[in-house]
Amino acid sequence: MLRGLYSAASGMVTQQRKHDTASVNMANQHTPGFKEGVTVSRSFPEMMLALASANEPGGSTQIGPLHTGVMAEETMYPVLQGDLRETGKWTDFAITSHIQVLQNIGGEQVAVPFDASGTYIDADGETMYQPQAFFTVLTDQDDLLFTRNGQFTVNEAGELLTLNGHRVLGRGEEPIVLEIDEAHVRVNERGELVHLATGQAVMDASGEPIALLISEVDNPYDLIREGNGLLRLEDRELNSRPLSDPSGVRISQGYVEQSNVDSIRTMTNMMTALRAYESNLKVVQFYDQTLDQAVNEVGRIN
Amino acid sequence: MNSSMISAATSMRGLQQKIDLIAHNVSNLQTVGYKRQDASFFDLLTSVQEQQDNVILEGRRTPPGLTLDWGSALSRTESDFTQGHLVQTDQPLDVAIEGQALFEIAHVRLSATGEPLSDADGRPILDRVWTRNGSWQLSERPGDTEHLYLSTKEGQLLRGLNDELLRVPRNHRIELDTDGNVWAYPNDLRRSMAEEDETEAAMPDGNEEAIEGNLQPVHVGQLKIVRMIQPQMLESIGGDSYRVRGGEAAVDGVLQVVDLNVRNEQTESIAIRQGFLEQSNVDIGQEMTELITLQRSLQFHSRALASADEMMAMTNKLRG
Repeated sequence: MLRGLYSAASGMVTQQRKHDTASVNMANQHTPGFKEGVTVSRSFPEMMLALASANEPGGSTQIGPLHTGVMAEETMYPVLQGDLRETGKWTDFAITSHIQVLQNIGGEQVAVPFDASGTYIDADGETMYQPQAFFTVLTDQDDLLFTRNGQFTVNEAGELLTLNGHRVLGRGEEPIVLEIDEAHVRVNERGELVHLATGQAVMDASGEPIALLISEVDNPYDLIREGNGLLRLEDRELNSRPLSDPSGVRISQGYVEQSNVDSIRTMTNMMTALRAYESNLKVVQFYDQTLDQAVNEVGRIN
Repeated sequence: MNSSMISAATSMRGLQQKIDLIAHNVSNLQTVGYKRQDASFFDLLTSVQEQQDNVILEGRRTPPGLTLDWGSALSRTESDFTQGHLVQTDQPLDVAIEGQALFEIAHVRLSATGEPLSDADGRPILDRVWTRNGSWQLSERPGDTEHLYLSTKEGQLLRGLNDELLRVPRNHRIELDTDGNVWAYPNDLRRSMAEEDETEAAMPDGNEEAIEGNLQPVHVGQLKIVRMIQPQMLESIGGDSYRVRGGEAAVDGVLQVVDLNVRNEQTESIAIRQGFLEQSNVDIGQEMTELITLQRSLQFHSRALASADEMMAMTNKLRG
């Protein structure tokens, strides 16, 4: 049995997946709010090889551990801030999110120093994730989803919608309806609607200020992509909440958050995946030659 | 199945459409009243490949399942209604709007073959469409030898505030004030007042006392001006005209008829300027920058496609 043949074949499949991810990242270079994907590969579980011993019946000699292949385990979309681009459109919004988490170290409240991927591993080896802010959207199936793509539009009823027609929610989980026309209101950096002339908050029928519902997701790695920039969170009530402390989040009206895809890295990833695929393919060919020899030379009868 | 190839090909289509849009904007750089069109990208539906429980190992960050994406596509196009520059032409039939408003046109509905359609009584069916293009002419209508009608360069008639057509007596020239009131002056008046230019300049307020003798101006009517409440709901139908997405039923929420004689919160920022034309609001620098970015992006995608193709070619040659 040539175990390496299967390892090489699984390597080809994995590299193909990585190539796909690079290609998707490239495809979404211009998609507002898109987050670059990273495919992580992992080796198959180790197995122990043993040689059945000829000397003593039932006995065996251990040879050592072996991995039998590799797989694309997961594709992560780390929610990292994209650049803001000015569009000047009233219905375009961008979130700048930098939420601080306080940790009690020696009786002192210290902000957790997250790294560039939004994670921090503390002294006990526990991984902490930086919470991220999102717009909250209601689909026609009454699902509550999140998005970082703040390119919205307004329909004839004055409802604020995503470009795919999902309603954007305000505080209190009610869809935002603009009753005053947009020339006279602005959205401030906390996401609240204010009168342009007076600077006073716009109130709804029950006297509450109208504002975009910004949700804070504890662990952005838990989000499941749904397409169209929408993100689903399992156990939403438990793992997300309306943004409590507005200090780390800013809403910019007239801007969009651009995709955070780095085209050079994407191109490099794609080339690497292609060549790694080729290497695995060569290994398959070598095994094929080995088999060829075994069958046609070693096993020749006459 | 090679999903790299699929996503690259799908996304190239979107990029190509966006480049077409830019080409359209650039070709309308000199079109009076043209508003640039814009569209944005969105990522296509994601499918999730199921993973079994024993695949979930310690250290994994994301929920079970391997997400597969299928590229991006272009979202619907919208017009960008920012104000274009006003250029002075001094032509009496050149009119520009300042502010978020449109002129209303009585647009003759055409059949598929381009013939005007009529209702049961033989009158042409008129649709309401709106425009910012204020490059006009006076045109004749059959059966009326006394008057000329204010119309666009395509011959579509402009509407007055009370939905009437704007009739200008022959041998008259028109003047408009900033409220959209149209006055017709007999052509003789120009000769008699040639030396009194200052008086003429004071006239746009409709100050009739400034005019001597029996050469009274005729009040033709007031232009029908609609204020855009929700510009996103307007859809370009070509020829610099717009209609409302969702048809006649949706018009009320999107456009509001305003009487500029009454100045209030809604009308204070709107003004009509005679002798000016609003230029297109396309910024060639912006369009070109975007074109370069998109073209590079298109190149990237063709590299991705070639790369995916090479992958398949290698696999095919696995056994020589």
